[in-house]
Amino acid sequence: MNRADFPVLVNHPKLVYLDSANTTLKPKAVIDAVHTYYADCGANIGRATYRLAEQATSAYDAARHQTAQFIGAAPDEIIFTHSTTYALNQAAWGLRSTLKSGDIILLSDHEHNSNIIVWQQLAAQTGARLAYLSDQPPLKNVKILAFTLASNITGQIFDHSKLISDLKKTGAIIVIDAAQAISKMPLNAAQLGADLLAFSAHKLYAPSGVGVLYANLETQARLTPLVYGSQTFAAISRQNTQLLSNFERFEAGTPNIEGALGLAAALKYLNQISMAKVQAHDQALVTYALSQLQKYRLDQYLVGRPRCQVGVLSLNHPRIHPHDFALFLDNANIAVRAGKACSDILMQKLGLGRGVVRLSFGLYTTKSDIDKFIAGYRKTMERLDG
Amino acid sequence: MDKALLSEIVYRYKFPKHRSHRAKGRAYHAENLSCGDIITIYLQIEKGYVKSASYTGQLCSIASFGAELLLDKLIGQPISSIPSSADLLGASGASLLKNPVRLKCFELAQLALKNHSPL
Repeated sequence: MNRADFPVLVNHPKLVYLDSANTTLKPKAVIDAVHTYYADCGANIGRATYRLAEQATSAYDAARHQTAQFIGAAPDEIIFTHSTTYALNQAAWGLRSTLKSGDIILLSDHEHNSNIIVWQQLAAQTGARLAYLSDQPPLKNVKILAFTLASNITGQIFDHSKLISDLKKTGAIIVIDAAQAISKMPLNAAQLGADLLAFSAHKLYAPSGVGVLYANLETQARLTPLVYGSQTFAAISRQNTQLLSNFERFEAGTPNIEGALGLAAALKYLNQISMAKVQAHDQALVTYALSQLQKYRLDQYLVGRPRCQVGVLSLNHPRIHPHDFALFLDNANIAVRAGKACSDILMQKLGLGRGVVRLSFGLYTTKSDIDKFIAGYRKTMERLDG
Repeated sequence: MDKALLSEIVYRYKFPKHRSHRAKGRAYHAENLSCGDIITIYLQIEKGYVKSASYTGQLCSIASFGAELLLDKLIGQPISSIPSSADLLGASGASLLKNPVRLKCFELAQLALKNHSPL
């Protein structure tokens, strides 16, 4: 993988960026795509009929096609949103009318706050009950299963295929948060059993402000839009509006056009490398990091020991505050996430009130980056705990 | 962060002047929900003046530093005269003053005194 493709790393040659689970750096091709849109086009989509507008519409449609292809879906199964959080909110509130008192919304115990809070709110407003996998609730009442495909704390990849298969027989809807997994491995939404699947562009080397909700057509038909507005209807009168029956009814207003074009550029960049190679790179880094942590006896601080994981690792030192590690690592030009990383419920369960130090990998991460992190971690221990 | 400031933070973290388990006086408590840090400050107040002060808690180095500097200044002064972060840090603290996330850590001790009635 070529660090020279990433202007931030060119402009900050000493930077060791180990916070890709938070957001990924953007390759020049993505930045160029955003710039090109503003410099060479600049028109809105789906409305005007002049050539620049048609050019914008055509490019935006192509971005949808590319996004669909990336997860083995059809273009009309892709709803562009603003973020994973927004996509999960569209999923949850869109399913409101399908829930009644006594129904169960089932979550895993490893969820990001954004895949918990919205379901809590939905449960409170519908009389449904929120349950976690560790509660082992009766499956017959489960109407929605929502879970992350890969943990943003331990990196663990979750295979719930048996549970999905059982729940599908009862008509439950499967919602997958692929925010972390999307940049790490080849994904096929339908093969995963997802009815709805959410991810963000910014964790996929693309601009922030764009999210994706995959919704298969059967589920899409049951989904109510979260917001209403222009470009969503087939007919409108003074009192009523007949909404479109396809994905367009979920995309009211002018979207983040440049962001979607940036996403298309990112997907092209990834496809040129191939997701199989991306995954192999990530797995090689995980193997190396684990071996080095073990070598320096830092593996005792690892949070979770998953058998199968993506390039996300978290450490918890019993005495030194995660923010202190982050402070000293930052002084050595090493960027990591410290704290609860938007996973408060998991942290409560693990008894990690102050959170963790998390290192996460990207295309540009090298073994040397991991060596520098370990050296910085050990030096912090010497300074504060020595 | 400025290296001289960082050295000072580490020094006060490893050799705190006011951190003590001997609780004397009124207790003032605050916590930072985002990171789980907690502090309890104990003040002995006579005729409106802080006669002695100490603190306990689970704190990162910057939160400890904030408590140390606050109590350095406060002892012997009126309880009503809680100094600002700029007063506490002076010019050498510019790199911390410009970092809003970590400034919140530094100000946890001030928060305990400003926003909370004694326990």
